[in-house]
Amino acid sequence: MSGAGEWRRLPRVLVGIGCCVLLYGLVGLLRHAAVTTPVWTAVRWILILMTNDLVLMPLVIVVGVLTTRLPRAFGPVVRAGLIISGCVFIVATWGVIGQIREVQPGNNEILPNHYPTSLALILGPVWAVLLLVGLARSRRKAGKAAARPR
Amino acid sequence: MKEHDEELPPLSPEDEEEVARSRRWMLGAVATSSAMLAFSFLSANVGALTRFALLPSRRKDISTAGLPVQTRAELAGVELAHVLSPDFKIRVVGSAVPRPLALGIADLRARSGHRAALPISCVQGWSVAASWEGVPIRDLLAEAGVRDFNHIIVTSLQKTMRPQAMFTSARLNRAHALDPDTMLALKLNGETLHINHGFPARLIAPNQPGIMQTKWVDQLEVV
Repeated sequence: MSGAGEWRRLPRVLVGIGCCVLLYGLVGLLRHAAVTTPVWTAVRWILILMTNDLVLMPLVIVVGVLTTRLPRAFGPVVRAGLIISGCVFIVATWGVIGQIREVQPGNNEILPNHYPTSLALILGPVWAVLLLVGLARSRRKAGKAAARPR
Repeated sequence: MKEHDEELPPLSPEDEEEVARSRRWMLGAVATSSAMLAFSFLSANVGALTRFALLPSRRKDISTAGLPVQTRAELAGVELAHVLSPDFKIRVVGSAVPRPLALGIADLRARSGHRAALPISCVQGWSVAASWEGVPIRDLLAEAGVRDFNHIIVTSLQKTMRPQAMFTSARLNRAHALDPDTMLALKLNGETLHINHGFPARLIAPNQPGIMQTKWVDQLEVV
């Protein structure tokens, strides 16, 4: 092993493995067309990609730019909170939407929790801790600025 | 890329420190999110952790016979009176069947006895283990004189197309059909199958997503 030289091959190896997995999935998709409905699957994937590139990505960029206008002590903290909230919200969306528009009225075995409450229980403490950390950072920065010789 | 970097004005040590800190915050947030999502998934599916699950799509403690119901019989258009009628028979038919079968509930019970512990793993992200008892599909195939076949189409009594038309039938390939644990289940966790779980019989096979474990089985077409 020649150190850095060997590591340089790693991305190619990973891409190769990824391509093999994609090929395996594609073969399975086409071999079991009756179950996998390749045309509908392709349409769905294109829609997902378009939603990601045309809606989600621009939204993330705009929100990211807006966070740069926050006070320095709070910028990274708020960005961290938004990343965590976004990830948790994606998982919770299913439940929250399911409670707004019931799939099977009366079937309490589907989506048994109250998901808006669950969301608040998870994200409430996260944002509370981040707010405290942001305040502490802000005070530390103010202290440093005051101690700096003029 | 390098040339571009060289064109940028150098950062002050304070700014460099801030950029490094911001990057650490971002990585920390991604790691925290991943850990929270991993815990969310584990707590929804691992027995000892379920009390901590805040975002599960199903819960074992809110269930029928220890297994959550996805589609109720009423919504599927299946009536208890119909399956209890003496005329109701589950048929084993198809081009590969020399001796077609038509089995009522009593006939199936007389052939039942095989037990297996298999989970229902739903594509909606939940999985619940259960104990099943019923008639192995391969026993039915032997009784019907099936020697060679390609696959079996398992059809349900489900009439309605909601929530998903996919629930109305499943395709079992040869290897799956001949697995000793693939069966028409009549009992779940020691109790007669509830109508909402597919009474009188539902398909249970290893390594099949829940959506393919067809309820209210009406016919096995062996092709």
